[in-house]
Amino acid sequence: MTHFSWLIDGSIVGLYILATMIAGIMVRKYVGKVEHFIVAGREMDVYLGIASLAATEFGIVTCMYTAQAGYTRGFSGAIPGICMAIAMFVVGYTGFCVKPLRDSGVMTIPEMFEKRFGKFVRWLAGVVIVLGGLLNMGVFLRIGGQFLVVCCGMNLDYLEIAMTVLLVGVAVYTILGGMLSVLVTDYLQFIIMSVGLLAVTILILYKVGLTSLITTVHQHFGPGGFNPFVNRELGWQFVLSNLLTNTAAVLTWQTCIARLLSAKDTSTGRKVYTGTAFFFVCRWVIPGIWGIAALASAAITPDALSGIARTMGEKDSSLFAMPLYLSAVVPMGMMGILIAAMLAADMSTDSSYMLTWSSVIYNDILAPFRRRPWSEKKGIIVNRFIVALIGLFLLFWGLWYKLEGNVWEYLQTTGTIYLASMSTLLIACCYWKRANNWGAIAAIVVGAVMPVLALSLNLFVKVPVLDAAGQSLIENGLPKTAGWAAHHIGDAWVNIGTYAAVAVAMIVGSLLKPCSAGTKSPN
Amino acid sequence: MLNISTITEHWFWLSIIVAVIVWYSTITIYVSIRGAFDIKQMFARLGRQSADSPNDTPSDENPEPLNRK
Repeated sequence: MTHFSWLIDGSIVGLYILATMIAGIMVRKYVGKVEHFIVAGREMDVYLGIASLAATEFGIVTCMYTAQAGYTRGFSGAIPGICMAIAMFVVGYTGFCVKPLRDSGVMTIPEMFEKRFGKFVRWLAGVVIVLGGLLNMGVFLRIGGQFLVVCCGMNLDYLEIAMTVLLVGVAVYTILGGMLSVLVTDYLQFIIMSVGLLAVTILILYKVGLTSLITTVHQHFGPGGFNPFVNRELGWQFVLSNLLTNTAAVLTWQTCIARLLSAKDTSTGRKVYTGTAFFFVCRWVIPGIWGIAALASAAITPDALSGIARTMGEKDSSLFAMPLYLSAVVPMGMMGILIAAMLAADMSTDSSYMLTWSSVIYNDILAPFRRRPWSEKKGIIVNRFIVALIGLFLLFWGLWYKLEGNVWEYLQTTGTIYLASMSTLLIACCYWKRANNWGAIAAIVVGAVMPVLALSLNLFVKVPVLDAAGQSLIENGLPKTAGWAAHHIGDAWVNIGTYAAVAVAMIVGSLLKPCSAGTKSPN
Repeated sequence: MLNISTITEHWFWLSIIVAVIVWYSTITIYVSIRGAFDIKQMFARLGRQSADSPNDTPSDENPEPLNRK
């Protein structure tokens, strides 16, 4: 039974949405150039950058998969957050790759590649960035809607309507104000989101207690719930895979890089990175605590979760433990703050993802093949049109695609489609003089083919999951199955293998091409 | 209540949880205040720029990205 009251909590949520929409739409008058629309005229300062990066990188989907990690892996599930924080701090502090990138004055990463690797590499890089990014964000909307349905007790029939209304609202201010609207709404959303996250966490710690959380993890996972290296499901390959993915994300993930490139100078961009780094620990630990609290609760039974998963048409029921738990423990009034916080988190993520990926389509897939430059006005109209198209894609992919297994592993694999190749290209572009277009093309192709192959094998080739006695496991009355690659290779090894293969492809491809006098370094 | 053995055995995660709560609360307040100033200054600068420049010039993205700062 949820504590959501449509009068009290609904009013809080409605007020928040109204305030965000007004703020987002009001700034549209400052959008006079494409540069304003894509990188906020490069006028973003440190604290606005921290608020925007933190708000963007925390959506409902983030909350769901990080809580799922807490519920299924204990504290060890929060390791990706620690990896990301370390990577972001080190990159921001040293300026590794991000300094030459921001110094170059480009609006997107592929634009930088053009000078070194040529127009075709820029276009190809744009295509894989968009492919990986769209597949990645395709699941956001559905999972966000499922959270709202479980937490508010909303009728499932309204899921699609709620998702559509939310997306249209976000699309309106993103289309009108671009990055300027995104930054301003992100700032408001950061405040609302942070207040909600902290309030609910303190409530849970007060109600459940740290001792109970630790005891629960001990009971369910033993030492593996605290230390990923001794966890049979995770191990060192999980930590290494996350270090690679998160370092690559810090260097090339569109939403992170958009903040760096929107910063008013290189030093500001680096300060945004170092200042936001620890937020990534919070991003995994806070929902992780919620997930562990759900595990400690006697009311959250596997049967109840299976029932919800069946109703939602999803295979993995662990995703619903946290929202079901919150629906039972968060009192009226605070529920409104929680839902407003989650909507804030989701809206900031959706707007930024739509904008930053549309900027790659505009800047790197369409722009290199234009005969004459478009006027600023036409450029803005094209950008707005692309944002709207991405919104439509999100709506239909989100309704169609059903996730199997762990959400984080899906996001990691789809992200790897471009993270592995783009991070390798960026490092080579900045620091390896011998790197050339042969190596770049080989790296992009290998980096895209391996994860797409793994995803396809997971989607279309199923293998039965057996217990220790060799008997088929039963779930929801049917034999439990897993994707071929996930079962036989493991998601962590797919990631590690992709990064290794991409690096080899870059080196071999570059060395195979005869040296030419025209090779230039952007430094 | 936490006992000593729990604290010593799980000091890493306990300190992470405490750090998360303290750091996140502090940064929320600090960024809320300083971020508002950043927004104000950003729009002041953009307002000055738009007053100084014509509106419909060709889009200047990309032909010479490495020369543009």
